[in-house]
Amino acid sequence: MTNLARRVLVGANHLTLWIICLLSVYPFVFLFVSSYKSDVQIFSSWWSVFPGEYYWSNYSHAWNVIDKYMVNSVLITLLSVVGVVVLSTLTGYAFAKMYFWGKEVLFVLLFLLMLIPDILTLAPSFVLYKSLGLLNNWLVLLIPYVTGGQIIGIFIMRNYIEGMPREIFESARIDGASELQVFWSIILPLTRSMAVTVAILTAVGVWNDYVWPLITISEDGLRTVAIGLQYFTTQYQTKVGYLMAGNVISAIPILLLFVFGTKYFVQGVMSGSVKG
Amino acid sequence: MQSTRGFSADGLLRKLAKSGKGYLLILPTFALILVFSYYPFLQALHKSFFHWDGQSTSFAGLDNYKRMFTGDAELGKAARNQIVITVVSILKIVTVPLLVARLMFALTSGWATRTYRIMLLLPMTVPWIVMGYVWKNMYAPKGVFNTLLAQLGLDSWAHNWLGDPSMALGSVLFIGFPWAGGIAFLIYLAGFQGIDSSLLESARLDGAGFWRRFLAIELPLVQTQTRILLVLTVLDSLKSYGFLIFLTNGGPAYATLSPGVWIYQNSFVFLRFGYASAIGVVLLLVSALLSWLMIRLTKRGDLHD
Repeated sequence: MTNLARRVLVGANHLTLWIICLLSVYPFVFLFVSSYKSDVQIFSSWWSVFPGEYYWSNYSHAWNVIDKYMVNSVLITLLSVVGVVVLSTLTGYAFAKMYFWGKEVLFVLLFLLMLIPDILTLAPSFVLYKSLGLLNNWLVLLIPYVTGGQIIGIFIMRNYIEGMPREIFESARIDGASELQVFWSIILPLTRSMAVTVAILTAVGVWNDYVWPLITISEDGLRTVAIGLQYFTTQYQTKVGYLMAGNVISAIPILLLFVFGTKYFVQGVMSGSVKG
Repeated sequence: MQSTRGFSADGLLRKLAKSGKGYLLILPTFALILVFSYYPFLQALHKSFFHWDGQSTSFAGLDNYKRMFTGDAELGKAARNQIVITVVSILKIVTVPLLVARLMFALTSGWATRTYRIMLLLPMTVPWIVMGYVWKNMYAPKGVFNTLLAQLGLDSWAHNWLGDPSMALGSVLFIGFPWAGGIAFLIYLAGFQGIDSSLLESARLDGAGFWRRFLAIELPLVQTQTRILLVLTVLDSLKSYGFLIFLTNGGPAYATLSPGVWIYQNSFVFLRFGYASAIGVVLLLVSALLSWLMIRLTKRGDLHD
């Protein structure tokens, strides 16, 4: 291949990637750029990044409507993440390094859960939580988020802990560390990067959940932001700028989580420990 | 030491005693899944043979199952939509992310690779529900798409994208264009990077051109990645209903109805919990069959390698 031909190829490669990348990020750019425009600007000059006049007040209008939903979502996400990470580490460790009778059967019982579509259990779950008197209570969200979220977490943790050399645990035990100390001072620090991966997967799932809170939470003060934005949309049908500002606000917590966790997350995906 | 194998009561007790700590650790997990996952699951299997509105129950025999195949035109529509959705999802996952990964694999500039990677991972960092609201807005009758068409003088091409039955499903499937973002391209890229470079080098020296190397060496060697993604995509497309409920709730005129959405509507709009459970059971069987088939097919592929 001649030098020129190679250059043309490399150039075409970059051009293709740029086009794909720009098309991929356009909706995100549109979201952000529209969040500080007036509605007239959004529609008359949707391409403009610097509209001349800036309507940052969109944000305060949006915040006034969605503040309570944001607080709810952040708290519910945090609690679910803590629950999922703790349970998947405990159970993942038990399956990876401990002996107990019936281990294989119990593991299959966990695995089968991944095959059951959520939608199949939607109605019976609703009836169950209703009969427990948990509708319009955060437990109706927390319990299924932890119960469902831990499954993939257990698989990730088990795979990871299984690969850790047995000697680490053995020598700590010989040095007289209790089971709890081994867990606190060895397992937790060593599984940190996987815990971040599990936390991100859980948080994204919880933040996005739409159908379950829609049917189980009808009290406005308890709503999460995924649902809250819907009411916001109905209320401000004609205020697209407010809506976009509200969307940006509601994307920030997950965005921050990725900014701080991407290093671990990408490692996790690339090393093949996350397959879903 | 005496063997603890066998089924003597003494041996069993000793095994259980030795297992104590392990059981203690998994207790919270299993308590939760038994009550909140397995109980509703068994309930769904059981109630699929009943007329059930959440309160009163009466035995229905196989009525619910018969109704699916004889008296439910919407379900047929939903099944056809599901096939379209699944096929399109497969096409999306085996084309653009693979292309992007191959193009990025060819790059030598670390700086450029990092830039592209950030841009392609960005879509993942914004919750889909937020992007759903943005796309809904772009599709609105007076949204960006129609405004753009008007500015290009193509007013006649303008549509109520999600509100027109002939356009709705296509518009839903178009969301996320060009479907390059997310982790799929990372998984392919990891596959390309895992290929032994001496293999490619010797093929090059033997005079194999780009396409030949791509088709004969690289593609077969990222098969594992492709299979994982295929299985995940198919199962995911069968399971996902939230996005459709959010975007169109199956409408307009059932144009975007999927079996998942139909189960949801039967449950929470028509309060036919028993019938909804029966559709769910069939959906479970179909996805179990598909998973089994896909695992078998991919295993057979291994033998040919």
